[in-house]
Amino acid sequence: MTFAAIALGSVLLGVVALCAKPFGIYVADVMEGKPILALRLGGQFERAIYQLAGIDAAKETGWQQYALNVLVFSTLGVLFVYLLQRLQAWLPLNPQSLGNVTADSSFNTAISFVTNTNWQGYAGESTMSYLTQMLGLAVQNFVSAATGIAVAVALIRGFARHASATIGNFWVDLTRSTLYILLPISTLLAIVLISQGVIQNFAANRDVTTVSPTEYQRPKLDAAGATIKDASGTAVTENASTSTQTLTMGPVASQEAIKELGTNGGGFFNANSAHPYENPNAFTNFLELFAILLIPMALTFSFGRIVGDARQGWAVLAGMTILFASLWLVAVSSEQAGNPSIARQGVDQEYSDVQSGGNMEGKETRFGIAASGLFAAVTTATSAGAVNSMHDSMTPLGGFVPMFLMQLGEVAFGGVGSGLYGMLIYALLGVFIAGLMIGRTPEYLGKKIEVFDMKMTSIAILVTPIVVLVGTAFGVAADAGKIGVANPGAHGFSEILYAFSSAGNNNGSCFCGLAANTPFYNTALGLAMWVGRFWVLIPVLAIAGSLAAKRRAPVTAGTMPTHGPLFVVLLIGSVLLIGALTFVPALALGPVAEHLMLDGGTP
Amino acid sequence: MPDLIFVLLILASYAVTHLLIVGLARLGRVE
Repeated sequence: MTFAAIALGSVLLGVVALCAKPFGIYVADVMEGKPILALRLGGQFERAIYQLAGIDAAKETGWQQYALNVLVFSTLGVLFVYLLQRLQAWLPLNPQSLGNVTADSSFNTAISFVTNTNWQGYAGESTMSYLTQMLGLAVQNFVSAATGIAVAVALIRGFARHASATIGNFWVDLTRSTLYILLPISTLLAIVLISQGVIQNFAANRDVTTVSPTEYQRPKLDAAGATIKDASGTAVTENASTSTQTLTMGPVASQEAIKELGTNGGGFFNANSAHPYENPNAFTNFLELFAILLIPMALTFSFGRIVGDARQGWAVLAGMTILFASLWLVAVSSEQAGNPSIARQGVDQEYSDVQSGGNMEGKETRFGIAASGLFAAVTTATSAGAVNSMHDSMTPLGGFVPMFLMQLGEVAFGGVGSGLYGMLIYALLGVFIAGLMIGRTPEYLGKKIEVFDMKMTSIAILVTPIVVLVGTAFGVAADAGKIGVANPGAHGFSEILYAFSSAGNNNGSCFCGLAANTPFYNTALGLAMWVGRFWVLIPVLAIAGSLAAKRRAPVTAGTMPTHGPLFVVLLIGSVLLIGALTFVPALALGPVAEHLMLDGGTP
Repeated sequence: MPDLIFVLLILASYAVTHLLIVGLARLGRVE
């Protein structure tokens, strides 16, 4: 692994950490309604929204009503995005005259964007009108991230409050996180991205003349327009040449900013952040990585501030950082080591002044291996799912890392909100295991963790692995699932496992060798995304309600400190224990088998 | 027809998840 690769990741983590603390404190103050400048400036507008929507901002609710509000709001969002796609051909802002999206793809995409997954079975530039991109997808980028923040803060309130029947008001939390957190920084980031070359317009696509003609092969057609095939059934091709290239246009920057900040990941273009109009240079690449990590990392400081003990936030952040850094190093070093089969043929894969070395397949030369490997780790450690390289082309061990980071539940650093509440669930599991070992009732932040809390913790932790493993089993068993696989064998299995890991954990990135825009995958992955989001989020809110109702137990000599290195180790151990026990058998059939085959000489 | 199926699927997902909330709330009261 090169020094540049280590330096890039270290500088990124350092810069984000520096900004995350003040930003996390700001987020905490906003969500707690402290009399800060931003809330005073926007207060009138905020109150107008509540008045218009008929919301009593002063009225807080218990966890059931909070969860119901999340569910109703999200379901209406799914229905709206679904209808928008099905009607886009007749709606404005469609200069390419794109047709309506198919029913199964609309279903998948609607759930995908509402659940903050942003899995994309379609190619954005040739499928979605500008209106659908802005009014449907970009709006959900904001509100799905805001929902994540709201739920995380509701759980933090559960720890911070005592003998309380309420955990907050979802509509207020949603409005504040959108208005004061996501909108201002997205606007700022969009402007910076535009300054670097990210496009923002409503123009139709442009045909330009290329500097030199491009030669290519195209299928030969008969008089009726059908493809001519030879005796073996293979399509006959002919040489062709073109001097025209179509440049896709659209309002990209406004969607790109929230795509990263909200850990959404759904690209305007099919190539996502590998496209030069989404991510033109090394600076924007760094900026996008920064944007993905900012809020998930900041929320650990918000957690410390709201519970009144900053050390608690530091402990959670330490656990997240260690988990992330170890797996990021594996990804980049595997990619820089390259492919052993190619090395055996005498090909030089060493990094030098004249070549990047390693595995450059599927990577942009603008970014290289270090920035691509880091992006792959960041995007799957969080729930972003944006990509600047094609994960399907990574080495087996390099591809194992993003898959495993998702399977760990995306808790290092996790999605906006979902990362923190996911990690806090593991913290509850950790103190429960420690409580069993020392024979005391487990406690976390002064709250006794009892039977109901552990039942909810178990549901929240087990739902996702069930979705991923059962979904993968269906994928490899059904003909409709196998037909989408581009590379049969261990890699093909990885493609299906990756798809369900991504959907079930609401990530959205893909091993895009899998042709997933089919009724089977659109429906199955759509349902996986729904269950992976709400069947985790609801038990988390139940825990919030249960904890908020409890009294705070005094700290005694027997209380296990949850801000020291021992707790950090326990936290990391809990995450790895669940992740490894659950997914190692499946991983052994995919990336591990593929790695052993490559290493053993099987190409 | 496909629209009817997928809209019903969305509504069914809502209904089942609503039942989860009700079930967990009942479990919480029993505990």
